[in-house]
Amino acid sequence: MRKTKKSQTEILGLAIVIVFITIGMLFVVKFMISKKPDQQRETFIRSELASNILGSMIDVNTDCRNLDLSELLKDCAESYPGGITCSGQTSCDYSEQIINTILSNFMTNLGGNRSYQFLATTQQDDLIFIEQGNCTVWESANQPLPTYVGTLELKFHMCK
Amino acid sequence: MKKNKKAQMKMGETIAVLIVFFMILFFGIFFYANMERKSFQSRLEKMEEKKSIDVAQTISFLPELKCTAENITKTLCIDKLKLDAFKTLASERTQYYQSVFSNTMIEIAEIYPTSTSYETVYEGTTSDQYFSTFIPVSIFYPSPYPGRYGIGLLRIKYYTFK
Amino acid sequence: MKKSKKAAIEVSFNWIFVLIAGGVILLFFINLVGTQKEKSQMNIALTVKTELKSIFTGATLSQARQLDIDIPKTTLNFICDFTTCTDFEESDTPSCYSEYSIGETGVNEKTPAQIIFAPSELFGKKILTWTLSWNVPFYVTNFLYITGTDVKYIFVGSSDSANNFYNKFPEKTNKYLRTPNLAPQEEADGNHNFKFIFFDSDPTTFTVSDEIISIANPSNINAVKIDTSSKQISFYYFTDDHTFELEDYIHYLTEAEAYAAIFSDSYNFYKCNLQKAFNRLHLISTLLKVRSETLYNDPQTPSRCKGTYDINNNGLTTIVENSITFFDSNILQISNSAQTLSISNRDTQEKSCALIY
Repeated sequence: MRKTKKSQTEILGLAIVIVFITIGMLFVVKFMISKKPDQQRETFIRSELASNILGSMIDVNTDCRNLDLSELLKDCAESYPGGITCSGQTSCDYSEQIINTILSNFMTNLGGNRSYQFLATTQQDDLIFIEQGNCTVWESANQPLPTYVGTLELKFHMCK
Repeated sequence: MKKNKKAQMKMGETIAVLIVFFMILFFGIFFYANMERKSFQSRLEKMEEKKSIDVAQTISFLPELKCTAENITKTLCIDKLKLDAFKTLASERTQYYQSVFSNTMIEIAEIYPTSTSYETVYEGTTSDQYFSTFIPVSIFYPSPYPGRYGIGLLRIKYYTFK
Repeated sequence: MKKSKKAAIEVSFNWIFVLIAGGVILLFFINLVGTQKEKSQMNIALTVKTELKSIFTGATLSQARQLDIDIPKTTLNFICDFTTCTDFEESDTPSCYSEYSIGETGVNEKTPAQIIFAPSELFGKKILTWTLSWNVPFYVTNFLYITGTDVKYIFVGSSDSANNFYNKFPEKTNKYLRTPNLAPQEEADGNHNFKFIFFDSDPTTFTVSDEIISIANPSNINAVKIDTSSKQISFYYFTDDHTFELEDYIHYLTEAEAYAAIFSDSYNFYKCNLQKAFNRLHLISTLLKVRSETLYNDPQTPSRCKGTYDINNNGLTTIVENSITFFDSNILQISNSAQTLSISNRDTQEKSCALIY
């Protein structure tokens, strides 16, 4: 082969090697940038917290004739604003007060100045609405309670 | 060009190629080793996170705390009398529970009807770094009959050591 | 130097140089590949260990669940040595030397408190887990049973006990129910571990088929006999004479222990895990004893309830005292006290009192 063509071929070979290396580096950098941190623990805790808060509230016994909160809420739905009265308050008002206290205490102990929303709704009406702070929903939980006026939906949204 | 100079240049060229080749190779190995180290650290952290979830699950199902009625269990419920007895038992058997809970601190705050700050239930070996897991629970007060349910919040701190 | 000789020498030197440089590069890459292979095997073993730990924790917490788990093709070894066990009399941190390890990587996970019944060696791509709760009579812990797809369980008997045990045994295992006449003809069917479970017949007079003997090591062939009337389990090992010899026997409190004997490879392994279970029993019975005392001394407790909370009469004190060491005589004491406690607990229900457990 003529000498000029031989050296051109050699330089071309070197250039190809450098191109391969550059492409390899690009892939590595792309891989490093696009890899998202694993959020397994965060996901687990988030999914459990809202539903466990709601679940623990349902069975709690109140000072209103030792009835539990779900029974008071059912009464609120079935005979709005509530057939049962305790301390001069209807079951709806009494339930709202209890739920407010519980959620406020929860958020104090969870720390971080969290916002939340609580709703108790039937198909006909919104019975209870509690909101603390501006809410960008982080995690939600639902609990349906059967009543003879339809399903009473309890919704709790924990916010960012 | 004189032939011996030409040969020397050729030799030099070959050696230069080899040097560059090995430089690229070692650079690649260094880079790879660095990536592996980061991957290993990330993996360790993931293992610790998993462990913290395992420990939180173990505690929320612990027979020493959970509400039972003739072996029927109510999930996420703690018996108040068992809790009080367990505080004493755990302080006497700290080493044993270390093998069950690893490096953990278990605290509980009552939310309703009474509101209290966090009280320590169990304290193992602690450090500066930890994962916190919060578990809302029902608290069952068996006496007086028929008993009543309140609400509590378990805080489980799982400590890591680096 | 003549030009031709000079060229010849130059070519030779060139080739020698190429050989040396090429050899070094090749050796380097071969070494790299070897190291990466070892590292990769270790990685797999670590991943398997982490995943198994979470799976075993979850499986232990749920009750009466059967799970089958796909794992990379590997060998799992389970160890639990009763001779290393300590109890609450000897130590504040009683435990036994127990662990499971993955293949020959040396990666292992210690299980000082977990109660796992499994063959000493499991090989394959799938493991099966099953949990049963251990109630004495209150809930103490879950027993986790683990087995593989190369273990064959042959239930020998035609009585109701044999049928009951067979029917409750997990469906996905290689289980077979045979009459004492047909069991000696049982074949290997590609399995390497064999467990014979006898109910009515005597294992010492039983003949294992030649095919099984030719395939399996004697340590991988063993037998238990479960006597449901006297609640006794007898353990047998396979001798060089190809017969079963009695190793030892012990009473059991609940069916969960009988199943534990079926899943265990040896009496030592069974006793080791039962000692760990006894350590849990001791702690929980102590806790319930304190709870019962609190209820007894509570001024709000009605007088009709106080009798049931008396720890000297309701069985709790006896259970606490006899749950320190796993021993046959202790088992019998606990059995009687468990019945007393169960009756007392039912009494509390009938008298509208808070339950003991």
